[in-house]
Amino acid sequence: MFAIERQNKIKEILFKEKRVDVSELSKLFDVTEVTIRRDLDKLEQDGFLIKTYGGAVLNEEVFKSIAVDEPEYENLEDKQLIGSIASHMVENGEAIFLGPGTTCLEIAKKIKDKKITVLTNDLLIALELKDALGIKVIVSGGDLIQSTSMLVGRFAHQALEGIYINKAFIGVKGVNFETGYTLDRYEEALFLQEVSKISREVIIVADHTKFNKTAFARLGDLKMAKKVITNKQIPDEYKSFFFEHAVKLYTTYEFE
Amino acid sequence: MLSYFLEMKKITKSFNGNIVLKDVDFFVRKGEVHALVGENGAGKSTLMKILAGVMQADSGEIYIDGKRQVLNNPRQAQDAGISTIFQDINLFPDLTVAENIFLQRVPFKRIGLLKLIDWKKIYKDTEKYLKYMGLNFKPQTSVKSLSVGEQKFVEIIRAMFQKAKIIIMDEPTTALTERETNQLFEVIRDVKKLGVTIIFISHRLDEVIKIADSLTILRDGEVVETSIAQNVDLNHIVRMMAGKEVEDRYPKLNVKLGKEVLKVEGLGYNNQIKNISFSLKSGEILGLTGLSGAGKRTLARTIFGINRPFEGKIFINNRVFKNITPDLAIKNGLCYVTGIVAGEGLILKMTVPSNITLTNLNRVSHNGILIRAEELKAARDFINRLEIKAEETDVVQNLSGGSQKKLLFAKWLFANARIMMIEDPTTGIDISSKVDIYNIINELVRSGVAIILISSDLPELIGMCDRIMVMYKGEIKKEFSRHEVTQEKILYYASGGESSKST
Repeated sequence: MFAIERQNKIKEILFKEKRVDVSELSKLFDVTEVTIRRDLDKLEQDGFLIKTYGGAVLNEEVFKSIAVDEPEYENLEDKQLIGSIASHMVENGEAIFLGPGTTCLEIAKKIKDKKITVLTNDLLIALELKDALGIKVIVSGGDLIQSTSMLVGRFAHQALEGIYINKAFIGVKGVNFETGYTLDRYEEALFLQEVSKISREVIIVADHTKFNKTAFARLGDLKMAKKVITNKQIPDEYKSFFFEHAVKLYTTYEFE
Repeated sequence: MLSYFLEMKKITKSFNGNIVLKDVDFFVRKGEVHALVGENGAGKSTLMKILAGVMQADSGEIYIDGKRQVLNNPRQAQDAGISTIFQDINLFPDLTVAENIFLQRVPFKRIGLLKLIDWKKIYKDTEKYLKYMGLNFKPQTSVKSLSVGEQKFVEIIRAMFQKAKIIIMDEPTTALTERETNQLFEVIRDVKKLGVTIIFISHRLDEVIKIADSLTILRDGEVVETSIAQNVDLNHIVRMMAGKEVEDRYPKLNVKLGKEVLKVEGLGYNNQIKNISFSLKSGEILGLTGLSGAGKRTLARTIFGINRPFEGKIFINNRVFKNITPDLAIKNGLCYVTGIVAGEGLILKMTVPSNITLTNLNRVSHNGILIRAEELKAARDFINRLEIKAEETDVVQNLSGGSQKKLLFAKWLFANARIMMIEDPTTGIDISSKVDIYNIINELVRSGVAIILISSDLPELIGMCDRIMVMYKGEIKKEFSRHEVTQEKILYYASGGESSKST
């Protein structure tokens, strides 16, 4: 079977099952896993799928170009790795901001032993830190967005008055050369823009699946943050771009 | 107005659209030693290659003694009286001193109709020069039996015999001993008296100040200053060379340091490195830098047990070693990730898996027999974990530079290295692989590996290291913490600056 035939078959399976597994495909087509990974790379470049650990999921954006938020339980492992890298950047005595979302939640889980102040507009993050003795938690207040744990709006903005933050960790839904960093809701974007203004350092956290994506509301361009934490799998062009524009790019690797 | 003997006017040169020299004006007086200084990549070599006829400028003019010169090839440059002594020796090792000197200008004598090589004259003239320069070897000596320093002098004599009016010396003291360097300076002063002009290229700024009459500083392909050498000090030169600090773009991660894993006390080897002491903790990145020939590599090779025997003591995990071999080093978790040249440290004709398992075959063997499937599994694991763009069946020489570098890391990770001496990890690889390597280094220190980063890429060292040691002529001259270090400070000590004059 030619590579192109095999890739078409993989596409079919993807559309039907929404996900594929490298080892299963390798058995199905009787080729090595490396060959399958190459196929998946190609299909990922074409925008059909997003690679995950040991396989890939259908890129729903093939059908709808604007991502709609749904609880993000995917890529948990990648987000955990991002969380550990982020924890190295937090020093005792600092005031940090953790933005809404599961990636920032993973950061919260990794910093419980620090002595810091945490401001957040995500109720789940605040709850996660409730037993961390050294951490003073401040919740922004504001309007709760239906079926999420995110607070936005005028009351949230009021919480930012008269305070300064050392480091703001912000999770985004899309990272793209043309559209910059994007989020699902403009209220969220507005709030996070205000947070950036009172923060000495903005750190963007986004797992590799967020790259080459665009969500609804623009947060800012790719140079707005001086540090970005993501995974090793992101496209090479982004690695070069960040380095050339003096943005420190942290990517995760797992060793024993 | 004083007239110049050599004038290079508005010299511009670019390679593939990158401008390496931009409107460079380089003016040199007759009979002076004119130093040309600048960081690597500032354009020194390109300018000199243009003068030596090896390369042609895109635009600009060259005058010698007021006459316009066309230097389209080395021969034309030689005829114009320009002679170059390169950093690497350019002699025929199997020929004698005299033969090398006269090779291109053999004197003949006529006996009737016969034209014979006048050996008597050759030997006599060579002898005269050797004596003049205070060298105690014979014209009949074969060049390969001479020291590097002595060979340098043979090259100078050859240049003199070629009636050179301008001698370009590119890093002439790099391989010389202290004594030979002083001897060379004596010779330069003598040669100067004969009206010969010397262009002296060196990174060793203390020597530049000692020997030069004038100097020109290049930075990023442009002349930033030409001045009389006695009017400038080392600090000033360094400041002009470095320019503004580059913006930090290196993904440094703060890692909590663990216990001391490596300590070196009074380490020395064969007079090439002297009295070296330092210690290294788990999770730490210690930078090691210096000019070429300063002893960085010798130090790494000594600690790894390639250079022996050594003086002093090496402690690995508190265990003292008075002798060490690479085998012993590896068994104790210490490794040396070489890589000045792409592919160094790898077996290029072997496949990816064989290269990875090479240093720890036991891990994929049972009862001394290599289990192929285990080896492949290990390889696959590392290809994924380090995101190496390769397949298990690939032969190493077909991989990109970036993948080869990553493979070196895979090899030592497989050997369970806990102390890594890493040399020039990002030289000659693309930017995205560079970023990968920095993050692999981060992950290594996060897992408690201790690293000595040996590099001459100063922004990289400053960006990634917790501490930086600067070597000069085999000794550690200065150690900086991450917070106090600048390129300028490193350059000062790397080019021979002394502590008392430090800023």
